[in-house]
Amino acid sequence: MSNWSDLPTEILNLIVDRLYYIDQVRIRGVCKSWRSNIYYDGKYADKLPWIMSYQRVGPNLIKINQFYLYEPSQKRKYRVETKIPIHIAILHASKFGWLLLSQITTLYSFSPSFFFFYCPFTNEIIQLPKLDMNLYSQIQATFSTSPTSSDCVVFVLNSCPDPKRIRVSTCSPGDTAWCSLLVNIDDCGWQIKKVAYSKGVFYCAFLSRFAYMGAYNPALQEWKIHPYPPFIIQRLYNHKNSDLDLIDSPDDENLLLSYYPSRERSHVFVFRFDQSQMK
Amino acid sequence: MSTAATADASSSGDTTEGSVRLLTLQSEDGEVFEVKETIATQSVTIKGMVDDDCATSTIPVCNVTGRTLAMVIEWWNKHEIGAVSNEKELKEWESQFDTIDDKSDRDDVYDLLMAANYLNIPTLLDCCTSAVAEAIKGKSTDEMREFFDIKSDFDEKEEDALRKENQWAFEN
Repeated sequence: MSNWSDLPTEILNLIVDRLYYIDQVRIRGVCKSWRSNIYYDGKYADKLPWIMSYQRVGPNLIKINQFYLYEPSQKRKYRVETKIPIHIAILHASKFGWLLLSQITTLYSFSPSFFFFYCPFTNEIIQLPKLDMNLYSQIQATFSTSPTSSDCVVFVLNSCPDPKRIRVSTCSPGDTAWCSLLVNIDDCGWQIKKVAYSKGVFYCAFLSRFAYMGAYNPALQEWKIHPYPPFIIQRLYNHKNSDLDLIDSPDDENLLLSYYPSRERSHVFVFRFDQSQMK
Repeated sequence: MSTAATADASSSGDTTEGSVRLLTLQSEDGEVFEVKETIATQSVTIKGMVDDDCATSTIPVCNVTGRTLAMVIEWWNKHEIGAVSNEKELKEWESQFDTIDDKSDRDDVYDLLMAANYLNIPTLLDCCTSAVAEAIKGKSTDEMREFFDIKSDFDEKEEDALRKENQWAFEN
């Protein structure tokens, strides 16, 4: 007579590792012993990223945001209840099942920005300390590892009133303040296109005449610059309408730089960044 | 299934057949099986005993019934190098574990899981855990309880809290 609730913990978890995220949530609710014996180790059989979307619904003026999670493996849609008012929050990054958002509290030109993590699966929120910034500054932000891990670093890059300088801010969940520093940029008229993380370093793609990528190592508090491949430099100089993007891949730690000859993004050139080749 | 495996094991055992050594395994309920050492060492546990020279007399396989042990031996025979001509044939044979909708099939898979765990047979463990996972994918918590024949031991309040925690996951 088989008694599945007595299944040894290691076998139970071998089964659980082969399930999709949604099935893992459900199997934890089967009985008390399974609930306490199933590890939360973030291993799922889901190979595709989930998509989160929202929709404004309701009669006329009274509208509420409805959030949906779409799971591509089983092609199913779920409605999520969330208290986040998306019209005053900005989404910066989404990785490891968490979203990094920021919220501006007032509309004065210098106002504190509150960054926070939100997990749509569990409705958990992790607040970060306030960060003062100019409402009209360019902001790009991302993070290194899951916000529940001890080595998570949040990285914010924003423009300053001085066009030749840029501000780098970092903090970890649980910190009481941000660690900020100003970096000189020897060029005017640049644009911060995107920030990304790979192997201990935060990278930022600038769109400027002096075409290079910034690299910040939070452990060493060190700022470096790496020029783009000659292919991109030539084209950036000649094509006013070109565009750039930076993509990180937490699974294999690859960093990809994509170059779009036109803003319509009808075609793209992709380059893989090789950290070991850089000085 | 049981007789086939026993006959298979003994037919290769009635001669000394070169240097092939036979191991004697005894199930929990006293059934005795003679198995080629080269086959039985697919179990990491038994391989350890052979390597340590502890496999000279009868090896008691506690917690595993004769019926299950016969299935395990059949698994070993199929997975011996050269036993099956190609990967496709092996996969086809393994596919019998894919459908475990019947209660009796589920009992078999449970017994095999316990045996694979005790004897440490990675391939069998892989096959059985995958079969169970495939069978419960997309099922609700209640359907999973029914599948495993487990009664909820949460009280109403706890059950409510559980659902609230991941409310979206229980919509159907």
